[in-house]
Amino acid sequence: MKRHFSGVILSCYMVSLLLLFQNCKEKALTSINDDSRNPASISDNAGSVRAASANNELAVELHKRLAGATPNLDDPILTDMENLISQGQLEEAALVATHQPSFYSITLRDFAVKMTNKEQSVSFPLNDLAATIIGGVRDDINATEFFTGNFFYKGNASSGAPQDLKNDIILSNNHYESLDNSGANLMEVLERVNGQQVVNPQGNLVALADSGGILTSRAFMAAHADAGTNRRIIEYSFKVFLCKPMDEWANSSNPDNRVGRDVGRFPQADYLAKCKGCHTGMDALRPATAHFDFFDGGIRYKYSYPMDPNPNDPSQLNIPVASAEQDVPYKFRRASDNFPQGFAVTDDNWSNYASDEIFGFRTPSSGQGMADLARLVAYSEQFSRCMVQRVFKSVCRRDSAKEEKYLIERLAQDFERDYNLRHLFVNVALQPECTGVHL
Amino acid sequence: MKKNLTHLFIFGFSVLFLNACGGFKSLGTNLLESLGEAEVSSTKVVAVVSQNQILTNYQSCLKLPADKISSQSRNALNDSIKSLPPEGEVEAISAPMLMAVTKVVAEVCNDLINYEKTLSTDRTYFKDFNLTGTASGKAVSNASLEEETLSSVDLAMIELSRACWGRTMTADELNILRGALNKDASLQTANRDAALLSCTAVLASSQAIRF
Repeated sequence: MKRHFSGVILSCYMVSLLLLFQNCKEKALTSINDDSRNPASISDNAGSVRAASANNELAVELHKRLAGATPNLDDPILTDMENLISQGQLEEAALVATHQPSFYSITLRDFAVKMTNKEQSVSFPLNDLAATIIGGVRDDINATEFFTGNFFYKGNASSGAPQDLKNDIILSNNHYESLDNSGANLMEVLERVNGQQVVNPQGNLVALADSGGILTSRAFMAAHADAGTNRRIIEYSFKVFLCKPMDEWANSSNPDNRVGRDVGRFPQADYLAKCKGCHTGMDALRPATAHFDFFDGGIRYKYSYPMDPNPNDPSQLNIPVASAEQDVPYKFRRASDNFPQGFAVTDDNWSNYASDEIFGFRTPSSGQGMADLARLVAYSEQFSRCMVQRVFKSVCRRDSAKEEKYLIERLAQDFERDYNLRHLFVNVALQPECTGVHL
Repeated sequence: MKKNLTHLFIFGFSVLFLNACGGFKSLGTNLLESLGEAEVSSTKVVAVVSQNQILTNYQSCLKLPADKISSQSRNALNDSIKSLPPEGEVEAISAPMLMAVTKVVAEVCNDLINYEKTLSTDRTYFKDFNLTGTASGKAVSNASLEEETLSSVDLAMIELSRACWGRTMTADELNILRGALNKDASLQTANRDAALLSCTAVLASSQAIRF
């Protein structure tokens, strides 16, 4: 069927909608009883606008919020949920909705995909990071393990997605895009693979020696380690998983002994006013990424860089690199003339100058590599608050308000009992602040 | 086909007119901001179907097997995906958005009809329909609602509302849809065109896309 949508039709829609909303308040609704498939039961009843019982209504609402799809009124799952609600087992009723395929393919997919790109948008393909979160929730994995664990999820052989580990998963997103495009049932096809891998200089797959869980996933590195200076990895680790954009944790009173050479210090007033606040915290953590780069479609770890590109002809690699810095990509030395006395990254030992008061860190203030950085993130109090905020947005379709700070805090404390994201989704969905229903 | 398309839009208008009246109560960042911080407690925020949600939602509510969603439906979604709100924001409701929904829904309805056509006895929605294309089957009813003689088309629309609205269609709503259907003699039999138009009208309505 070929369809043409003319401007006239478009105009009609606009006019219709205007009329529609103007006339809304005057409209009297009639009702049909719930068993109205029996034609005899259809009757006008101006006093009622509800077709279903309160339990039915709540079951439908929970299903829509959690499973992301309107349930068919004849679906036995809805009956199960209603029965559980009538017995006062609200959590169990909500849990039923989280075992529907659409909970994984809609609600969790969008929740996870938003964390994988700079735009924090759902309009990106599925990838290894998102699949790992979706699979991990299905398997009720402790959410801190997404950072401290060394594993990822992919579609199994029956998913129909291309299975070449190196070319379809490590060096491209083909595998996950195929899962997305085919509408695969993510609840069924995802399988856990232990051990993250990267390609070595010889082109062979090797184990990643410094796994930071989803922080060292291909998707996260593709978004934040491709080109640039690797500062974006730090910025977005905090922005995405701790819900703190740079301007909320910048602090000019921190020492700047770790600020890189590419950050000019003059004019000093400009440096102090515009640069220092962000760079003190970010650059002190940046060495965690010292051995990582992303190019030609994949993560590169601890490659040797004996020569840097010639600034006058970047195609020529003929600038010798000091031996102490040869494990570190050129991106750490770019524009180092701006302030040669600045901090030179030579290894992956990092320090954390970010505020304990804001983040509630529970791990040491220094560490080595992405594995320690991932632990810093996952075990912080702010990580729990951030997950609550993200789930709240996903289920309640709005950001939590400032006045709901204590609700977020309470939900975060509940979340820390088991760090189970499925339970967090259920807990949030049952809040009257979310559904408007006082249970 | 062009004529049918026109009907389809008329139906869409009708049901949209009807359903939004029960609908969006609050919402919208601007509104929340204008009301200040004290407004939001215990407020259900209504959203609409999102880009990633639309096909899965209809497949789920219609209980349509996943492999019955055709490539035409996926193509219709891909063609109009930019008109659909990424996260179901109510602020994104616009004429192009509603037209995009209608376009996708028409294809999903086509899939549903093709699927039900293969079921000779256990059809859920289009019982007693002749889905092969030529006109026959039971005529559209003009009976009053009190009578027990609802037509196949009436029953199909009621069943579709139970599937994808999360509630049963009201008598007013049914009457409006009937009125639109009765305007065209060719649609007064329970044939494929009537199935397509009634299905599209119900599934493209604001009640069906509201979350």
